[in-house]
Amino acid sequence: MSILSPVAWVGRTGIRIVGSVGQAGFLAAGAVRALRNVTIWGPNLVPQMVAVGVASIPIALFIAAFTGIVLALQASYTFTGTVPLYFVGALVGKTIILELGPVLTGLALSGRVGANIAAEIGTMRVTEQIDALESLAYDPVAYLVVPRVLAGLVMFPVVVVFAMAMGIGSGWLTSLGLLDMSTPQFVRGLRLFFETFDVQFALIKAASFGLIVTGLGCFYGFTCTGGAAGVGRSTTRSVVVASMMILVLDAFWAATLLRS
Amino acid sequence: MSIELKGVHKAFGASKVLQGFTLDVQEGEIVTVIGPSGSGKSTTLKTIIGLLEPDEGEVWVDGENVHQLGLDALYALRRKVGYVFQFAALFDSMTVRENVAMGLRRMPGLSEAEIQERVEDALSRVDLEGSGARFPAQLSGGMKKRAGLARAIALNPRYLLYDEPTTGLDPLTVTMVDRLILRMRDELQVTSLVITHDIESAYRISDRIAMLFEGQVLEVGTPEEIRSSESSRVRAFVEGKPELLEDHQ
Repeated sequence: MSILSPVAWVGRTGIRIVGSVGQAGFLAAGAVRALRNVTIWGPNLVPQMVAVGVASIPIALFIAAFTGIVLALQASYTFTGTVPLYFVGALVGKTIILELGPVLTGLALSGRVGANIAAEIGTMRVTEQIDALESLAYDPVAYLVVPRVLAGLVMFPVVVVFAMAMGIGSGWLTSLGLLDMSTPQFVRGLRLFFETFDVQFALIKAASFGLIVTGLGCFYGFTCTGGAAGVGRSTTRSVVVASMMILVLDAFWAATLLRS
Repeated sequence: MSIELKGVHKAFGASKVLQGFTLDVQEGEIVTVIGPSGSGKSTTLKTIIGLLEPDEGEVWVDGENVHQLGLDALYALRRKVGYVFQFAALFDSMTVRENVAMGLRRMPGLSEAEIQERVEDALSRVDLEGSGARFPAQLSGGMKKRAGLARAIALNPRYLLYDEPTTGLDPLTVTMVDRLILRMRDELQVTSLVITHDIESAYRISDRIAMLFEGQVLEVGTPEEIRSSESSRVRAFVEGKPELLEDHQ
C-alpha cells in the first residue's frame, strides 16, 4: 500500500461528500419547486401520513412505555434517601418530553420510515419506475418526495406526542405499582419544573427529525444505483446518516433553544 | 412532424456511449435501431424524451428542441410520446388498470369514465381484458410487457418509443406485439422508434433499420438493404456470425 493511500482516500471521500451535498441540495430545491404541483402530490399525502405516522405509533408506544418504566425506576434508585420521591415525576416528565420522547422515537423511525422510503424509491429507481413516471409526464419529485417529506414533517410530532404521553403514563404506573408513590406525589413532581415551552421544543425537534429522516430516505432512494445490492446500500446509508443527523440536530436545538 | 437526432454525444464518466448519433424518423414511419448490447440504444430513447441530457448535439421531437424546453413544455411533449420500457417498469404497488390509467390522469379534460373506457380499450388491444385487477407481481413476463405496452398506447400517442418490445417473449406474443406496432402505425399514423435485438422482428415491422455501432449509426436502410449490406459489421450482427467480424478485423 502506498504511503499516499490514506491521503487519496480522504480526497475521494471529500469529493464524494461534496458531490452528495450538491445532489441533496438539488433534490431539495426540486422539492420546493414541486410544491406548486398540488395535483400530483396532493392525492398521495394522506396515504403517506398513514404510512409514516399512524403505522409508526405502535413501535413508538412500545419504546416509550419501557423508557418510562426504566426512567421511573432509575430516578427512584438515584434519589433514595437524598431527594424526595416525588422528584421521580419531575425527572420522568422532563426527560421524556425534552429528550427521550423525540430522540428515541426519531431513531426508531429512521429505521422504520427512512429505510422503508429508501428501499421503496431505490427499487423504483433501479427498475426504471421513476423513468416511467417521468415518461408519463409526472414530476417524480412531486409524486414521491413531496408527500413523504410533508408527511414526516407533520406526523413525526404527532407520533412523538403519543410517545410522550405513553412514556409519562408508564412512568406514573411504575411509580404507583413499584415505588410506593401516590398519584398526587407523581403529579406534583411532574408539574414542578414543567414549562409549556418544553412541549414546543419537543415538537420542533420532532418535526426536524421527520424532515431529515424522510428527506434522506428519498435522497438515498433517488440516487440509488446498482440493482438489489445498490438498494441495500442506499437503505443502510439512509438509516445510518439519518440516525447521526438526529443526534446532531438534537445537540443543535439544545444549543440554540435551551440556552437562557 | 418527426423525431430527429443531430450529432448526439453522451458519456457516463469515462464511458462514451453515444458519439455523434444522427438519425431521423419521419411521420408515420417505423424505424428500428439494432446493435450490440451496450452500444447506446436505450440511452438514445431516454435522450429523446429528455430523461437524459446529451453532452452535445440536438434532439428534435414534433418540431421542438427537447433539451431547450422548460419543464411544463417538456411534460406537454411527453404526453404525445408513449414509452415502452424494456422490463415494462410497471408500478408494482398498483394494479394493471391503475398502471394504465396513470398517464391518462395527467391529460387535461378527461373524466373518470373516459379514463376507464380508454384503460379497458388499451387492455383489450393487448389481450389483457381480464387482468386489470391484478398486480404486476401476479403477471408473467409476457403479460408485464403487454401491460407496459397498454400503458403507452392508452395515451393515444403520436410517437411511440419501444425498448426491446419482444425480448424474452414467446413466438406467439412476439407476433402479436409486432402486429400491434404495425397497427398503431396503420390505424393511428403513430411514428415509432424501436430498439431491438430481434432481427426477424425488425425485418417484419420496419420501414427502415439503423445499425448502431460504437455510439454512431453505421448504416441505415430498408430491411432489404440491411439484409444485403456489404458492411461486415452489419452482416455479422444481423446474421449472428461473429466470424465475419473477425475477418473484417
